[in-house]
Amino acid sequence: MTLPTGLEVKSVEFAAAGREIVAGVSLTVPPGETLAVLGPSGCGKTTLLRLIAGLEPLAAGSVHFNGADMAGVPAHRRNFGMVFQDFALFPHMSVERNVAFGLGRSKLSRAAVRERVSELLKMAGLAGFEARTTEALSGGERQRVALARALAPEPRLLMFDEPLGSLDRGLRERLLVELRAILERVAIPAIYVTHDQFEAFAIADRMAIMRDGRIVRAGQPREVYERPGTEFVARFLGFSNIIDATFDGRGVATTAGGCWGGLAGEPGPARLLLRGEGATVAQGMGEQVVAGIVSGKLFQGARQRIELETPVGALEFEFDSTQLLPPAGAEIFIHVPAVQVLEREPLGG
Amino acid sequence: MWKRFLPFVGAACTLLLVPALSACGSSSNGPETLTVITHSSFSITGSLLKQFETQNNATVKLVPKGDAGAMLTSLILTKNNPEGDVSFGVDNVLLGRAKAAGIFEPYSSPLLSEVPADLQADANGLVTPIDYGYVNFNYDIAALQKEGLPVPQTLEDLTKPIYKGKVVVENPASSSPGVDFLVATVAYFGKDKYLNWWAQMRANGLVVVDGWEAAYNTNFTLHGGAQPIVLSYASSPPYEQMTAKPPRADAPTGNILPPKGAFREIEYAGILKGTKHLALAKKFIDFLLSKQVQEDVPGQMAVYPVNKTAAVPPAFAKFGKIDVPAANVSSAEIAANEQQWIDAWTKTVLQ
Amino acid sequence: MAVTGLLLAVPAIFLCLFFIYPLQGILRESFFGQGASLSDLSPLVTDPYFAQRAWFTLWEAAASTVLTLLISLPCAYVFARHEFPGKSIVLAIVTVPFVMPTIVVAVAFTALTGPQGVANSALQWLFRLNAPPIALVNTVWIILAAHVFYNFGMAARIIAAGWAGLDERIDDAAKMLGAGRVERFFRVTLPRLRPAILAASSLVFLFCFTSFGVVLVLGGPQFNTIETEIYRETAFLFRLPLAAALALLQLLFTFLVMGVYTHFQARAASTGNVVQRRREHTRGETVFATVVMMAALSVVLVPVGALVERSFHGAAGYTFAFYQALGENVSGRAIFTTPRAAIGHSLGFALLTLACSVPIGTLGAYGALRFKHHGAWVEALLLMPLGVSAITLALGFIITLDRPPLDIRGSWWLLVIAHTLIAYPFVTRAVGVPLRTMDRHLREAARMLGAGPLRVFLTIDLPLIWRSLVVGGVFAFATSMGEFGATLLIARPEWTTLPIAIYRYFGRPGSLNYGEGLAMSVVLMGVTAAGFLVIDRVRVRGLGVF
Repeated sequence: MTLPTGLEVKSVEFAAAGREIVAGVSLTVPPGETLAVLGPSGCGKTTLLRLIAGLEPLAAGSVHFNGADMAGVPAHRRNFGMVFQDFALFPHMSVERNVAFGLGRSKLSRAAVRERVSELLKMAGLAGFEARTTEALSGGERQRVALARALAPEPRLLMFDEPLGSLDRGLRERLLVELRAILERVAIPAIYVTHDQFEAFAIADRMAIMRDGRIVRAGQPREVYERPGTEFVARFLGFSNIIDATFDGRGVATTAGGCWGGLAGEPGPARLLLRGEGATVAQGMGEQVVAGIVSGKLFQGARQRIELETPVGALEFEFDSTQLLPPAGAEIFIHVPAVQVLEREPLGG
Repeated sequence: MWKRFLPFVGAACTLLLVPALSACGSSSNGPETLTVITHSSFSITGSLLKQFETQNNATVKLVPKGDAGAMLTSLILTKNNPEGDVSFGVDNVLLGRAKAAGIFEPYSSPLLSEVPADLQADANGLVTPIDYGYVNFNYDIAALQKEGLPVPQTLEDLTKPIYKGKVVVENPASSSPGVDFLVATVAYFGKDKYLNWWAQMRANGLVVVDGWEAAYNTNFTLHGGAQPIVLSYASSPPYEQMTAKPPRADAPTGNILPPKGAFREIEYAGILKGTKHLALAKKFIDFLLSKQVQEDVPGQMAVYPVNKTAAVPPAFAKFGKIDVPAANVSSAEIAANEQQWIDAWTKTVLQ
Repeated sequence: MAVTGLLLAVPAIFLCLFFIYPLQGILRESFFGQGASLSDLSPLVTDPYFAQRAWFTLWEAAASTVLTLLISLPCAYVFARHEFPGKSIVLAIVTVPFVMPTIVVAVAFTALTGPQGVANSALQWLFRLNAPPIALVNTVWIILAAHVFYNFGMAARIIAAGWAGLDERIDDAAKMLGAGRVERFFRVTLPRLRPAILAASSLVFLFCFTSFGVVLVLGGPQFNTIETEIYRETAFLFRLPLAAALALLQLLFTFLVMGVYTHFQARAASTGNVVQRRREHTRGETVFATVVMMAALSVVLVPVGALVERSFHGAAGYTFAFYQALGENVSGRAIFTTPRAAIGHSLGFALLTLACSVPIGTLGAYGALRFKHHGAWVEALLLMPLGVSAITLALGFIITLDRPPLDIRGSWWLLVIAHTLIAYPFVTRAVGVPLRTMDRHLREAARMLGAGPLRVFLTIDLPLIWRSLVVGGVFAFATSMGEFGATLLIARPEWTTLPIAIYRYFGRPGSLNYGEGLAMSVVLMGVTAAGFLVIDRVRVRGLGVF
């Protein structure tokens, strides 16, 4: 009896050439949810995906779907859909035949197959592309074909391996939106692997951040963003204002630049994350203020970014373009109310 | 569409099964089958063979096995489970090796009474001589005339400067006529002097190739090569005349036959030990010695019959007369010294 | 999964039964049989002659390989990137030399470059010379020339198969970056061609190294190779331990050469597999292609043409007499094969060989790929039959396959097996090229979409490897058509093949025999070329533009 529990991965491990690539990862993806697995290259996220797909053998652990153990079920019988990084479109087939490939074993008649293919292509925004050859397509079009192809056999789980990596920014954002809409429509569990935090934020219902074969932080995107927890995760999510500070016994952290009270921390050195929320330009030094010399300004349309050199290192902040900022070389004081203490990373592997 | 590939897969599978299956049931009841292992140059008129088959209610299977040397090696290696009943093609150079390996069943045919004694000398009742040939130099008549060269009469003549680069021989280490002729020079010049002649030939631009086919078909001027003098057989000139197309009255080539300066190669037939058809095998050997077959061999194999009652074709008598004695070396002596002679020759001529 | 494992074991089983088993039989007999003693091996060490031969063999094989590559590369380019009417005929023609028996090649070269040959006659007439200026016979140059003649077609086709699969857009990118034609070829194309070039050159090197007939017939004893030594020691001097030792050495060498090459191949980057759009060619490119094709055709057709001319040239002018004589048993020989029979036998064996080598060879290529770290050596093992001496193998068959359940000594299946043994390595080697460079994501995408192993093979692999498969198949067919050494020892007269018949003619004196030999050679070349044309027609559905 199958329970609609979705994907359950329990303590899977994988090693190659004497090195652990995936070292005890567990996660669950219930139906209708999209999990983004985020991490730098080499962290094992693609391998994790391949383990779930059945393309690599598990060294330890198990993969269950709807309560059934996937051990012993070969990749081509799991009915998990996969969209590869380089799309892997079959070069010697037309768009229609590519998309129809997964329907080869179904009992549908030729006409039914053709209809379904058209439907999928329409959903992917490629109506009328049936007869085209794959090398005549642009990057975005190939991406959509890959998606339509993966969806054709009505998979029970969808996996994406950095599918938008090779596309330009604008296209990526547009496709993300469409992808999200399609995933919501289809309502099956999905895993989305990427190294780009914006993609992860945009597409995920939940996120997991991987490092060196392990999941170091998991949760809903907003939660993870609001509380990264460790320096690694913070940096990975794009935060760069991380400085050394010292705690006294009374919850006050001081740095060479400023001090913040009301924080919980052991006396001694600590790493502090200065967040951009609510930062304003101040007139002079004070509590929760950093002082520095402006080293660069970048105009970005609606926003502008400013970099400053401080005694604790280089920092950068974003402000509205209308905000007046001192020129390069001048002193600047920034009031930073949102500050977090970052946990120490667990040492060792 | 994939069904198209099933035949390929099927072929691969049957590959492993069919050989075993097809080997069973290969024995037939009815006429006896005599398997005769020969070298690739063996030939006989089909109707004669048919005659033998009908007369003896038998089937004769001819199995050519490469050149004589390869055939003998094969026979020696399959001694314990021979592929055939009779073998034809071991010659007096190979005989020593064959004797040492003990592959033959002795048999003396009653028809040996019609074979001159000297042709039977080495065989001593173990094998039966069937034909013989002379290995000697042929010359291209027209080519020599064109260059204004006299026809050489003796082996020493060939060392003269006018014949520089005009002679091609086969390598004794890999060619039957090659080793035959080498043995002849040992006998002709003597064990101490033969290498001198070869050294002189080398200095005179002697061309050495590895096989008769190469020498005759590519080096001989008759077929577009550069050498008008080639080491071949005394039967080659008459054979050229007999098979010339369009027909011609004379032979395009001639023989150089200094007395005792040619090698007489005798080919034998022998019954293989372990044969299950001994009586039939004996009959076959008699058949080979019969007048009819003996008169057939010159035309078919370009050799001379051993049976003195057999007549040779007129062309042989005219253009391939061999009325000079050949070099005299016993097969035992050849077997004992062959390797050493070849090594010495190689050092002198090639290295 | 178990089925896959079983299938992949087929080449291994085949190799064990019909290669290793007979080989160990003959080697054991040679080393330990009666009359053998290890002292027979001493010449190997004491006589400098053997070292000289080995050194010469290495040198001429290397030189031949380099020359062949130089000539094949331009041809490969034209085959890969240009389409023109009659292309399949050109492909067939350049492949024909591969099957020609060496005595025929020798006769052809003599007809061309011999003292009374076409070239010399023409030059003498043109420049009023007294003596023929070209004296190539029995020199090392003619051996190199003959090797190139034999092998350049094969090398060109294998490289072309790889070239055709290269993505031209990478070339475009280089163009945009300012690289000229020559620079693009050396820096962009050549590195990506490495797997194909290595595959082709390893085969060419091996053939030149183990070449038997060419050196024997054309070169003369100064130029002997190990293979001719083996023949001589076995059939002539009867020093079996020495012959066996040399055969083993040759096998080991083959193994090393193949292993090293495959190892280097494995490290070549993936080139991806794209189906090319047909591109327009510039005028310059078309001229270049035409010149190359004409040169390639001349390399083959000029000697062959001399041969064909000779086959019609009797003592009294041009005549069909030799061809007519082929079908007549004038002297009433007991062993006589009509041309039709010989063609039938040759084709029959060749087609059976093809049917067996293609699956076995392909399975071998896949099997080797499974061994991630030692795949190169596994493939080298599978390719070893290429380096076995024909006479050693034939004798091995004769002495081991004479008892049930493998009593096939007298069966024609033995010949098919012998031919398949030396033919399937072509398929393995050729198919190995695209297999290694195939984008593995394609297979995985198919698996994720529900395709089982067989469907993945048929729909993904096959369209991507079929080009190389066809090349491998063509040469498997050609190998069988031209095989002579082993066939001579195991064939029965009832199944005489064309090369054997040809040798029979050239083995007798007489201008009629000579002429018939020529005529039969022309028949062999014609039949083989026709066979190539048919095989090249095999297309896989769904390939689209080709």
